[in-house]
Amino acid sequence: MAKLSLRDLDVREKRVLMRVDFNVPTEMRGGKIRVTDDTRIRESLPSINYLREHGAKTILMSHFGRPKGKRVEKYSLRPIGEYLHSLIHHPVIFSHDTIGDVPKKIIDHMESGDVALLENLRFQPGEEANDPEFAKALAELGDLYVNDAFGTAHRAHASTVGITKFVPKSAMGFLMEKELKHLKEGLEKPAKPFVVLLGVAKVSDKIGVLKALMEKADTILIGGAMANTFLKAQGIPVGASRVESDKVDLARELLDLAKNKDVKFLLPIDVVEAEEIRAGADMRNTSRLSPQHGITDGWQAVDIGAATIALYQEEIAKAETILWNGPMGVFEIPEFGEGTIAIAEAMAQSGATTIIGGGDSVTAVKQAGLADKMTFISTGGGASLEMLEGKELPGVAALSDKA
Amino acid sequence: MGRIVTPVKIENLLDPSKKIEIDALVDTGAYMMTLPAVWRDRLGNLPSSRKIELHLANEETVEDEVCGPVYIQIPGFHRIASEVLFVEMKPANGEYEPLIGYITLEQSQAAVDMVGHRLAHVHHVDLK
Repeated sequence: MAKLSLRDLDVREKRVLMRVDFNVPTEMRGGKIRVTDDTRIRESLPSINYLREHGAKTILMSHFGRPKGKRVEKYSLRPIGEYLHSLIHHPVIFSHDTIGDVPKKIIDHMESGDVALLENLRFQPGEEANDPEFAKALAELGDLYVNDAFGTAHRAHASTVGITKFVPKSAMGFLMEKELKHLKEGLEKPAKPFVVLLGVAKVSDKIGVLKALMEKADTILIGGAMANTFLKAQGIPVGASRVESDKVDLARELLDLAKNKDVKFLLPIDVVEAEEIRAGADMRNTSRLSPQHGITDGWQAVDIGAATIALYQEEIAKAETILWNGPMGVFEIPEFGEGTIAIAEAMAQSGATTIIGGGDSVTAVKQAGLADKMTFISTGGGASLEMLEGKELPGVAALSDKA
Repeated sequence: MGRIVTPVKIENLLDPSKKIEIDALVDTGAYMMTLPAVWRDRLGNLPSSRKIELHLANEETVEDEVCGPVYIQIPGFHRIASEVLFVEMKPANGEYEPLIGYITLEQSQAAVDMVGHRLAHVHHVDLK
């Protein structure tokens, strides 16, 4: 059943509670928390501007970091509100409490077109617990509810699911619509060959995704720490690399499954190994990996190697649709980021439909200055993978159906 | 650099009848809009947001209260929704000297023009 859209709501003069995802990267600079990547904030602007232009009183709510149910000042959304002001050129009224008298009084004094931002939802233990009392207290602050936080739509929290039981109408924001359109429609029947690049850390987190992708993908290219577990399953020494030792049998099963499904499932044929994971550490490209020649004892895989880059580039060049989730190595350290950047460049040059499934791969694409060369960049890594797995996102399922 | 003093209007967002219009010293070393604690009643019943520790020039550390929300308007710049810091001040020559700190300047997109001894509008946003 199709869900209500923000466009379907009469928002004029209404108090509209909108869940956004302002969980953005920041750093402390000059004694102040600064936003270092404002993608998620900018992506929410179409919905915020629409609400303002249509005379709503917009009340934004988001989580930020992991304060675990208590007030932690470094996770306050105050600096994010200040930053948002500079983007919309309108005061963003910050409520230093998430629920209760302070936000109620602020909202009572808001005029049409005004924007308020509530303090971090996760300062309240009821948020992640999806506590009905907390959800109700949030709902009391608005007349209508909009969810524009695709990045948290796979979590059943008070502000994504619980709240919908206490408001008369709940709808998708424009970012949510855009994400669903590209990920659902774009990957339901992808143009073939469909190549998937996975660079996540753990096999165990992605079993469902891998199995689901084997139903659709022609080729799956593996990188990141996850590759080590698969290499070990093939009897290749992995040195001191990060491995899920208890998942080696599972990795073997997945390799067999790929063979049975006739999916080309490629692992790194060489890697960049380093003595430790730090900038300036000794590093080198291994020779071709085999059970006899693996990663050196005490050394760790930190990136895919030159031969693997060439192999993956060939597969990418043949693709009509490419989905990428997760970097190929420890790309935060520039010396270990060559494989990840090479993959981003190959995708940009491919001519295929390219979808970046959130998380660190988005950062990598941006660092490479290639964001505008991709077809679609998702703001939600976890949510996009759950969608690919075929799961219904709780934050979407909870919204009002279209009549 | 010299002193830059500018008018500023501060209004209790929850009770617009409570507002003050003053001249304040631009102080890029100060944290935010800073007012003498004795003025607190002039802004009505403004909720306390948090207490913060301040390190003073004389090496002393004191704890003061941040209250809000308020609208702050420096003429010629964006009106901002923000907070004010109330501190125990001693009047100099019988007058208190409120301060416009760097958070308030940044939010208002105002920068100090050291040559012209005035505030200048900053058009870009601050992103690394």
